[in-house]
Amino acid sequence: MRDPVKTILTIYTVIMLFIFLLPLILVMVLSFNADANIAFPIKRFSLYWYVGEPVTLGKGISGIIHDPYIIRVITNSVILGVSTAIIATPLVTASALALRRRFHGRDTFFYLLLSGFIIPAIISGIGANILYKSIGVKEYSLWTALPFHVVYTVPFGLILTMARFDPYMVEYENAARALGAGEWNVFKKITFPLIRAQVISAFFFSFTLSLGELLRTSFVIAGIGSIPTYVYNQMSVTAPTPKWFALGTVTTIVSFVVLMVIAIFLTKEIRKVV
Amino acid sequence: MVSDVGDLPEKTSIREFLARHSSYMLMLPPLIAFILFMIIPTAMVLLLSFNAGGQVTFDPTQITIENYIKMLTRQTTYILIRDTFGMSLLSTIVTLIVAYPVAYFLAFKVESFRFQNILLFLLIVPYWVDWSIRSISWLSILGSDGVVNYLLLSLGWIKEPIGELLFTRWTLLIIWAQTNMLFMLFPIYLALIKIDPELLAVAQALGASPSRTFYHITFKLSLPGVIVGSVFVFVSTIGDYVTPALWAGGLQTLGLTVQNYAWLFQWPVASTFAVLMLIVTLTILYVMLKTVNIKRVFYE
Repeated sequence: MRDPVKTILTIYTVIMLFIFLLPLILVMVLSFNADANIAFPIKRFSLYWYVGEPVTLGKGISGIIHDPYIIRVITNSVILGVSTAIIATPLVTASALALRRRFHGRDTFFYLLLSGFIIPAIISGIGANILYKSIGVKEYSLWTALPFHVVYTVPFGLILTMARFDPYMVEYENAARALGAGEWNVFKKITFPLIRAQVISAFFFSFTLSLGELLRTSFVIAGIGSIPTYVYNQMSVTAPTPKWFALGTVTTIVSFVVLMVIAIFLTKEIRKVV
Repeated sequence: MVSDVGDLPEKTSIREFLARHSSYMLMLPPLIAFILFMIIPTAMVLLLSFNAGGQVTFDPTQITIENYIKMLTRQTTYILIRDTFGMSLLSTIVTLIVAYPVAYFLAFKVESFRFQNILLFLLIVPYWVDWSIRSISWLSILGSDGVVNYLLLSLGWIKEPIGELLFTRWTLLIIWAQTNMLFMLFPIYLALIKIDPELLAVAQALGASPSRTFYHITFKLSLPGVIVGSVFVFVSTIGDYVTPALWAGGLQTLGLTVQNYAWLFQWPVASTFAVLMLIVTLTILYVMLKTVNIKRVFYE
């Protein structure tokens, strides 16, 4: 049985996926360029932008592992991303569970949470700055950016979580309650196992969104800050080199590893609890 | 008889209390976080827009509507509104057209759930390449030394590189479509997988053509997803003041205006433009959300 719609859609999806992944592919490939430009195609491959020694002659810039700024920026981004996810995930879970029941002010609460992305980035950006100025915070750091990362990522996690809730969850819970289970036990034995997958995906999503967040927090983050703020500030100073692409490649790998470790850890911990 | 449920011991009253009010207790932490870091900052922007000059914090004794009068009497303000919202709406439509078939393919044409997850995973991976680095990579794609020009040159279709691929409004649309693809695709996918396959089978059994089935069942039932995705893309393009500055070849937007005034330490004027942006955005969102009850997608 042939399905022409399926064939067309397969081809279309493959093309779109390719275009979608093209920036990632290019970043990875061009980071191995031996030259100091990001032109295509590559004439000579090298690992210079990863491990190059700092030299005063030649390219004059070291590879990323010899660049203390880059190392700090990557660490900053991962710390910020993981902290955001650690705070945002329980907030997402609590909000999603609260919204299952009918209660006074539910719609208002829902729209309040959605405001995290309904209010355009630049507005929360300058709002954050004005807020800190009004309460007299002068020193910006990663931690001044953290709350704004959290409120930005919560609505995405919420939608991801709620859209895939088991429709019979409340009934299972009520059954457990009727059989005499306490609230904590209901949560531990019934609710959490049912939403585990969504909670993990909310965690991943928060981390990923935080990693790329520039627009909301560029006004309230310290000098070096996270990767987006660092690169954005560098953009106005230097011409793009493959070093940035090397940084992008490393970020991708680091994100992957961090998320896998967390996923394995979470799965283990959850098994212990349940 | 159902009496055994009613015969539970006394302490259920505490439990019942907890169960009945659990929603309020659960919503308390997120509520506080959002009031502190979302509502108050926005309110402060609103307040500061009624001050003038180089003020950085709101001064209630200096209230004036001078900024608003200046802003609304300037011709350029209306051009800014048109360009900003025009580009964002266009970008939303482009992203929708690009993403819908992919979401449809994922939901209906990929049988294996595992393979669906692998494809979704592939869609998330590019977001780990940092945002600003991904943005620069467009130089290697559309620039005169980029992939597209290289391909066209080696195919012999053009004699010399096309410089106009970058720094036009089209560039902005392409980059925005790539950046926001996932945010459009995901809600549509989530809406599509919820559609009961039996509905489609019934429609076909009753003699509806595939295109009629698609329009009247699949598309209409996926509308909430389409709207949620569109809201995501629309708002994120409105708030994005960096991509237009980098790639749109001098296109002025409201976001850029806000940023420029902020950089000049003209916070009250920046706030005024921010308020204008917020009002227009909320109006457009209101119209978008009125077409479909998005709450129903999540909890009704």
